[in-house]
Amino acid sequence: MKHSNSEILRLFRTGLPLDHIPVLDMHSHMGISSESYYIPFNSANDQIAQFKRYGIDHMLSFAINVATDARTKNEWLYDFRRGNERYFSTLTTLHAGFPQDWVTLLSAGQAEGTRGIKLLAKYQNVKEHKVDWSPALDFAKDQNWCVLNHDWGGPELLEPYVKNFPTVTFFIGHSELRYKKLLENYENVFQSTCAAFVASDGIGMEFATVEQLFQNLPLEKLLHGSDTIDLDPSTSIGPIAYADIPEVAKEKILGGNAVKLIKKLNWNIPGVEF
Amino acid sequence: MKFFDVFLPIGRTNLGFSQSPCDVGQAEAVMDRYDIDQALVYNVVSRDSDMEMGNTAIAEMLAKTPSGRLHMIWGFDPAYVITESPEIFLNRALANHVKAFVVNPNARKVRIDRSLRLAGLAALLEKRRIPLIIAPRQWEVQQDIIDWYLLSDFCQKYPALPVICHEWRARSNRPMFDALAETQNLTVAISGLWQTMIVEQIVTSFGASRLVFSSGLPTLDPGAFQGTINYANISEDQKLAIANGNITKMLQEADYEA
Repeated sequence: MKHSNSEILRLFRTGLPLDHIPVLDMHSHMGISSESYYIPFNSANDQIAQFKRYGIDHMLSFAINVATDARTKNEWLYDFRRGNERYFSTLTTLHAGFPQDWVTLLSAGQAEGTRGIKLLAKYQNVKEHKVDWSPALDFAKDQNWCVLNHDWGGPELLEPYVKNFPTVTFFIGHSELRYKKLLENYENVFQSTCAAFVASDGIGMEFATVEQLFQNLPLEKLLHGSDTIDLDPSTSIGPIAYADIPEVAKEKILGGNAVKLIKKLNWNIPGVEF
Repeated sequence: MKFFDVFLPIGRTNLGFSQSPCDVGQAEAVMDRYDIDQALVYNVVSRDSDMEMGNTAIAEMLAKTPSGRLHMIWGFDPAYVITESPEIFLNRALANHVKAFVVNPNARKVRIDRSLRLAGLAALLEKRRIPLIIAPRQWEVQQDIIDWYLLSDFCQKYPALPVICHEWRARSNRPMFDALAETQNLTVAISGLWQTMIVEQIVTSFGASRLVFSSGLPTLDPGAFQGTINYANISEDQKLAIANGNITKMLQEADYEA
């Protein structure tokens, strides 16, 4: 171990909140039930209490398991957030199979103060290369929105969007190394650490570890994402806490980079000052 | 918090993390780094494909480099045509200081409620209260490969047998809740439980005695699951029980007299 003296690891080991640094979660879900499982302790109060135990300051969330009607799921999420704006920002989920609905869904999201768009064509039985997201990105441009995709389908599919929509911020949803050149060459591309604790999702995606992300990608582009409530925050924070990387890198990944981005995008989060 | 990993692998296998240990020294180093004090260990081959080959390898490794922190698991082959009886197999294992057994019903398509040879071993283990780990694994499918209803039936057939189930990801929690409700002797390794606050839910609904710690190696980052206990909204006693107390108690209650 080159980097054994870590305050983040000390706190993680003792179950104390990481309150000495900003911790933001830029990839999370909220919901009551998904196709695969019942979600324990799914109320906003329970989730917020869970954030506080870990020291998570704010979450960028979207509705869980939108392999069904996007409008219903989005509307639930907006209600869930109401009164809890200090803890949650939301993304509006689109269904890849129904482009005719996108503008209506995005307009509704805009009215609810959404911060952008969540995409997951793979779970909606639509191949990523068969979707043209341009109409949605056209809506998103110049609004300081971000777009998080579960799987962009490779750099060759993502790069045209990144080039054509330079005012949209693109999040690569899971821990990967495939997008290294885009991350290096475009300011508006960021990489989530989500699922770095697992080698593969079991259905075709391969993931990189935290140390591989640090060694291969621009540090300033790494954003902590937990996949809560699909995954416990321990599965995202733990591998960062135990990683053999400098403490300052852990701080940037867990929240420092996200704070910089949020400031750049002028997201005024009520009750939060970083 | 010090953890007791109930299923620490030795050896390389598909989708494995680089931290996966290959010998005693590496195992103890990874345990030190990730706050794991004790572990039940198996050779991955015992689970994945050839039980006897893996058993021989782990026995030889621990004989050559003894460790007070590593406690041996042997794989059990449920193939009916094997001539060595479950009783002789068990005696041989106990003579080699084996502390728990693993069966992979997905090697392959074994129904744990119907396997005659597994029934023989289960009855013997039940008498001695020696833990049996049910660890379904097949290389081309990862998640949700435990059949919780069969597992529940199996546990109810041997109510004094300590059964620990371990899989890569137990995503479908609804049948798992049924199995926990129907049984008293079924314990779940937490590295298969990825959801937020699932630990709290199981403790609340079924008690802290139903969970044990597993790092998730070889296919999960060994630092991922300590926090699900460290940060859980449960009592300190419940955290200790899951981290190390439940498995320690199981091993203390077992009869290993050869």
